Amino acid sequence: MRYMIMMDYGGVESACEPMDRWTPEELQAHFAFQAALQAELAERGEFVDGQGLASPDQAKFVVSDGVGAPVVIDGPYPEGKELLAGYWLVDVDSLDRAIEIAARASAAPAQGGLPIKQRIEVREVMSAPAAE
Amino acid sequence: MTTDVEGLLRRCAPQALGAVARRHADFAAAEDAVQEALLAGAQQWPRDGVPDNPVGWLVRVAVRRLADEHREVTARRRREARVLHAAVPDDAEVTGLLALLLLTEARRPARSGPHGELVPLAEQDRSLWDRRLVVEGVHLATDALRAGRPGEHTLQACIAALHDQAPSSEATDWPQVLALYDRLHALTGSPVVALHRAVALAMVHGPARGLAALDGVAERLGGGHRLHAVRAHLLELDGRPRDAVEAYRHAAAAATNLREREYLTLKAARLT
Repeated sequence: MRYMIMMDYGGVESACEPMDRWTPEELQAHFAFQAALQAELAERGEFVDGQGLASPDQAKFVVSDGVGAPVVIDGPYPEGKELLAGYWLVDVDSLDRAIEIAARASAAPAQGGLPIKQRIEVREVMSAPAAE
Repeated sequence: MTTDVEGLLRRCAPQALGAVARRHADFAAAEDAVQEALLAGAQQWPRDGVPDNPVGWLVRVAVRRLADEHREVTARRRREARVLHAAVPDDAEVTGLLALLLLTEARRPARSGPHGELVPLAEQDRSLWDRRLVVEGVHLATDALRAGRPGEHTLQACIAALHDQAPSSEATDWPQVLALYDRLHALTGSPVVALHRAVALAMVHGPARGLAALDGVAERLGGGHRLHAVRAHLLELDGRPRDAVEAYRHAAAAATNLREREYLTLKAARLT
């Protein structure tokens, strides 16, 4: 079963400050944790895809009626809605396993090496209907 | 009781193939890699015991095989460049291209840290560089230059040769590097070359001269994080940490490569 595991820029429930306040050591520990978790998923054959996205400053929002020129608005989203920061697409045996992976990611070390406690969304990717 | 290894492999094969094929664009290559992994399993599992996660084991072995193949492709490109060079040994640009490939490949082992983090040239552990490739690359770059009227590849190769021969960033023959960038920029007019030239200029004549050389490059580059990253680096060398931090943050926000973004974020943090 495939699940999207998604992180946005909000939903941080620990008291940690934004990343531009962290020390180099705290940043390195955080990046290393992410790399190690991804490597572990790859080892287990659960990793399908995973990407960090460019910063919200680079986002473009596009609305079109298919006729006229599309309306393109530069990011970040004007109403302050939280944008996607990154995702993992995993192929696992159960929802429980997807939740377990999300929990690991949610506890990534942040300031002071403490868990970031970020809210992470887990949603199943719809699959093709079973053959008749 | 002996495990029916063959039966187990047959049952695991489809799941392993699915996992590998989903991650690899070339389905035929994925099939081959999984086939090799199954063969390895057939040999090793009766001897070493069945792994706790048989599908995971197969996927791991298959993925490693695909990574080896990628290295083989890179090696094949070098071999092809060698063959081309052997066919037209007097073609200076072909020689220069081969030299450039070798000299760039020589540095590969030092390019990433233990967690995959980016390590720029100035910070690389040069003892990890491949000496044999450096020697050969320098030899070919010299040949190409000696032929006269060096083209783009030959000039790039000569710059790489100067870097690869230097025991450290500080000990690099920067005046020669700058002279080569002057020629390369005159030849190509490339804004990316102008960017690299600004760094060399800073190393020879000081960061202020390098920063001045960045004026006018911004429009030619049309955005992107590289200009901010170079400016940040020169501001740091110029003893202006607050301005450098702001520039590193701009560069990080504009980065499109995760490792580069992490590196630039770290640089900003180190100066804060």
